[in-house]
Amino acid sequence: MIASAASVFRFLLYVPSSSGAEETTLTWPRVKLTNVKSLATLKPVGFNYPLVNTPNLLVKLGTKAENGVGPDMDIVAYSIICQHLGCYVGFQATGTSPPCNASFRTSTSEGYCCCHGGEYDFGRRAKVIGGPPERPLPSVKLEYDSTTGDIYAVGMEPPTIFGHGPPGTIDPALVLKYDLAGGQPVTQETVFTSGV
Amino acid sequence: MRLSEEGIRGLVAAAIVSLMVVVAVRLWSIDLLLGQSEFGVFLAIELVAFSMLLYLYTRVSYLHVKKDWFLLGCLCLALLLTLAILVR
Amino acid sequence: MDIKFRRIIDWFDSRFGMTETILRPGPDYSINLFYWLGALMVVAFIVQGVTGLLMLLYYVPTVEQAYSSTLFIIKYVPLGRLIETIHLYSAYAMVLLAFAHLMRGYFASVQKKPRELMWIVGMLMGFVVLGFGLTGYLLPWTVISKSATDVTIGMLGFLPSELANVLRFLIAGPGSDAAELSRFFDLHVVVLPAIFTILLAAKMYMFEIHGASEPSTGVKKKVRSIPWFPNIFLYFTMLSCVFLFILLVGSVLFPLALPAQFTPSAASAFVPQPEWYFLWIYQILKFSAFEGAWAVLPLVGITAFFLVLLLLPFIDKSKKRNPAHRPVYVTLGLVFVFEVIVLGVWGYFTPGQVIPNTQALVIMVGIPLVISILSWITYRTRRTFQPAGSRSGSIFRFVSTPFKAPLLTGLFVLLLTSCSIPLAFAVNLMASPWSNIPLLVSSVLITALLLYLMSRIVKKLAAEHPVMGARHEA
Repeated sequence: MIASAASVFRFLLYVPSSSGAEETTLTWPRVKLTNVKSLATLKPVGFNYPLVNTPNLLVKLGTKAENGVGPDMDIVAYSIICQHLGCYVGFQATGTSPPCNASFRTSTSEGYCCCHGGEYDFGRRAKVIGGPPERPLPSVKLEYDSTTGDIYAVGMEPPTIFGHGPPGTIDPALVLKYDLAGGQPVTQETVFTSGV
Repeated sequence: MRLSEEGIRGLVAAAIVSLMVVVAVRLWSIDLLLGQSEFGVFLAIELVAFSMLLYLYTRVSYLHVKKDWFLLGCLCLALLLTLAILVR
Repeated sequence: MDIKFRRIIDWFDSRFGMTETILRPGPDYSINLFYWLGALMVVAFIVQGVTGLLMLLYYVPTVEQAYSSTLFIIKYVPLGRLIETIHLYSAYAMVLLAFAHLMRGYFASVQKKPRELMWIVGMLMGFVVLGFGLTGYLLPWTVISKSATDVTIGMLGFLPSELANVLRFLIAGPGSDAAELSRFFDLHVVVLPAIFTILLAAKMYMFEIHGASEPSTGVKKKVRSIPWFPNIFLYFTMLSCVFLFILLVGSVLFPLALPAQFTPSAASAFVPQPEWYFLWIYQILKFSAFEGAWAVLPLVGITAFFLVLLLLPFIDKSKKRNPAHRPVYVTLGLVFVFEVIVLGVWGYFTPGQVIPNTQALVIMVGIPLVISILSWITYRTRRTFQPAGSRSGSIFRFVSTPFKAPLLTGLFVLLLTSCSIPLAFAVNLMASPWSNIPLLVSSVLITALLLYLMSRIVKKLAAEHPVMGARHEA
């Protein structure tokens, strides 16, 4: 009887592997996001990467960023799942007020999390510049094709996305393993779904 | 004139039952998509009327009918009827 | 008319035998609203079941269609908006009734022998009701509900990671939104109703064996026995009608307005809050002392508190039931009630804000202190409580005592208000005690001195103006 209870427990905890196939080597999906010509400055574009349920924002900052790509080195993309408690981070250009905190003005282009006022500097690899988060947002590795002007998402930088593995994991092999677990990897069709 | 007298009780009960029947007919004919508020109010009227009927019959055997509760019920009905007209 | 009823009843009775068991006569003290709060919860549960089943005809539990199917019910299904609103308010009613039922049982000390297991089953049912609220809230997939659920599940991340992973997996699945919605739907519609029904059956069975608990203030010698039909049946039906009436009128006057659909960009624009019945827990987690990894402390604390409440019959061994003889027990209960209400309201007005430790201390230490003082005064100056049913108002006489000695009362009020100053200093310094030790020590001492003086005054008041005792000492 105890054995049957144990097997029911295992049934409940069964994780289907996200690809459904055998253990192949995991790789980051490679998807095209947009073209630099159709990217307006300070107008963020939402997209899913590397899984269908991990939203991110791509934005052209207008000023040079530490990890920016593109002709002006100012195009960046970060996960918008806050590293504090998993709320969603919104983009606030310099000098604007977030919709949830009208008395506050941002001093730089940043991600502002309405839950507890966490701030991430988008120009400096989403470094935490205010509020309770303790780690920066994971950056999306972007590739810029200078011949066509297309921008591709090709990977995720450490740390792991919130909710994926132990918080603050920075080993790239582990980041690959954890970020790709718990959902379907994006394809070109699913990069821009569910109204992100 | 105490409500515990059999004749009066029967009359009042008949009045309540006829009110319930009228409201039931009205409920049947309400447009269920647009008149949802009205439906709810009339359903509430039915419930109040039903509990007043029950009160009329319980209290006789246990305590005397207290006129105040009954009047409160009538007041509720009046309020609900006004509400029904308002939410139309 | 009565004879016809009797024949119908007899026909059913000879086949079901109900008048010997469920439908047997009850004691006269059970014709009282407080004895029927649990029964009203069953009515609410049935309402939930019926409205839920009706909505189940149209609701689709996938991420793409959850919101649109809910919107479809509200906009295009005949009576859909009314049904959806009734479902929501009946859910709130269940939580409120559960709280009222718990508190009435607590203060009346019903968990003594032989009803210990009823208490435990009842507490488990209370947890299931909270589970219903949590799982149901996610199903419409609106901005507010999905964000709130994300925060709640995110709280699990503060537990030790193995436990957190298992819990998160059991509740929310392997991590994708679709799995989470699917699991919550399964829990809400199948698992939790089944568990609730089984627990309800157990509780009803035990209720049949033990009957309604006697009033905690003692029974008069002669307890009248009320027949089940028509009296108790009709009383209960009336109560249900009033309850349904309030539910309906509320649903008509305040119809449900569905918030926007959930999208991450919409979610980033506002501050998520859990539902109102979880706000008190959320508020404690917002204290600045519990930031980051320290959040595990209040989580463990609240779990421990619920465990104590669950196992109360085995922790509280005293045989006394009368609240007049249980000062500590009653005070703890009052503190809990006030804290839950204050924390909930406070949480509503401070969305997303971290609460500074000084304020937290005032609310978490100050309020219990005030309640304890008031409770202690009440217990010191009362002489007796009247048994149930008599209304000669010894409470009124107690309340009027302070006005019979205006000077003493005035002095007491003066001491009380001036006590707030050193108390405020002490509380402010508790956040960083080492910054000003002399001030901290002196304010604590002055507070203690003032409290002692107040207690002398209360003693004098009690000695000189006794509240007149009634015929029996309880």
